[in-house]
Amino acid sequence: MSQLLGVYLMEILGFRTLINPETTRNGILFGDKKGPWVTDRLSKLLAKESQARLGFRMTIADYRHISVAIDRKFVRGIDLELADDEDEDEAHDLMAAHSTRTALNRYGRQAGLLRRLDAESIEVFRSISDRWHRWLGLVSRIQRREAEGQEEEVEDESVEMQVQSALERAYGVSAEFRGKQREAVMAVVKGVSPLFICLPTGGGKSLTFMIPCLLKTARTTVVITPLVALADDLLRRCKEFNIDCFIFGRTAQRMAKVVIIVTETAVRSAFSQFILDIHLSKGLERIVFDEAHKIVTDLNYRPKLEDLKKLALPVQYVFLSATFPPNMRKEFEQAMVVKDMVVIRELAHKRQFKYAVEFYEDDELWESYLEFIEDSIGLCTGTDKVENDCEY
Amino acid sequence: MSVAQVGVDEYEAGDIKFRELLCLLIILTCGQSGRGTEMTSLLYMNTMESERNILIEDGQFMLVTEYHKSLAMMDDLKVSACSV
Repeated sequence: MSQLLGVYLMEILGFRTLINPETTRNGILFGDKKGPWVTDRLSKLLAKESQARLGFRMTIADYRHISVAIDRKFVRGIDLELADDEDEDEAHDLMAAHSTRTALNRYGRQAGLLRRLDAESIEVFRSISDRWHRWLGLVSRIQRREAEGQEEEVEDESVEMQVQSALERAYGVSAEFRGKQREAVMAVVKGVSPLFICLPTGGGKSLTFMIPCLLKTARTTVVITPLVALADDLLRRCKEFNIDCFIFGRTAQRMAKVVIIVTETAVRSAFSQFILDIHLSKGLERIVFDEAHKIVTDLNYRPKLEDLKKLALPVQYVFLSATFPPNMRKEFEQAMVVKDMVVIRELAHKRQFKYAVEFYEDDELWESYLEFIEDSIGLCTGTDKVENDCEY
Repeated sequence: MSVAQVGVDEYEAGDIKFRELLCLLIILTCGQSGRGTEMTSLLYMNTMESERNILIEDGQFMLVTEYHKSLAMMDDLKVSACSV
């Protein structure tokens, strides 16, 4: 089939475009210049062909049911009752775009398994197609790399390369890390724990856990964030990266690459149970604490923050913050019951900012202040804005 | 270059017949439960509206389809792929 399609696309399509450019302009393979063919047309054709070759009429709708039956009975190779092997099943049902549970209970209901395509699901989809091809006797002539061989290759291909390609997938081909991002991402990927990443605002803190989630071997990352707005923001950004992600408590529980949770929900027992379940099924890779300094600074009015330490599990702990003065470290380590924390820190100073402290007597303070501001206005480009500020 | 319109029409008719059968074959062999609309809206090139669905992965064609029912229901696209 690949060959048929390939030859068609490479040889015939070009010729058609040459002699009759109107018909190929919209890029639709199975259609004409008016748009895609309607399903009805294919259905009639399928009925005609099946009547002629198989001796009975089969429409697309009929085939839909037949294909599910074939899949269950022959391709999957196991009885429905024995359908325990989750990985295998999941793939077939994923292909039918509904969850295993839905498939087992009743087809046609809303399912929670919303996944985008990543390297892992491509493999899964592919193995399904392969099994169908084998059942149909269409053995591919291409020698595919063996699964084990591929694993080794991935090992050979350094982690750094994988990280780079994940970055390029997310941001485009010539994407590069800024500042200490690379160091931070590598530490996360290598499982350094406990790890504290202190990057300036806008320095790409969230990237340090999102990129590792794009790796083929990635398991689940739980992100605990102190604010609902931040949770929404992270959800949006994960979706931009095509990382399967949901906010705990907002939608139905399920497995995902990234589970976002707001602190106050994180200390409830429903979540501890959930996180423990993932951990016991060896699915939990790391817990990330966003805006981690708040564990120390906001403790006095959000007492629940203290309960976070009860989440203790033997997985990687990553703390993210833009504000983590060295003298906060001891208090922080005590609050989270961790020790020997590795800190990756990038200075938050910006070159265009200047800080200074000067001392004045009371009586000359106001005058010097005005003088200073007048001097500064000369240096600034956005004069209107500065003048506004100066009215105070 | 000018081509006799009659010849073009003839060629096009044969081409359509071929593509119809190819489409059926893909539906029947790729292992995905038969979805007409997803198959007929496959794009072989990027357009203004959307990206192409036909890709090559490790020496085989891979068709990536979006499952529209979930978009309407849950504002989220399910994506599935099959190789041919």
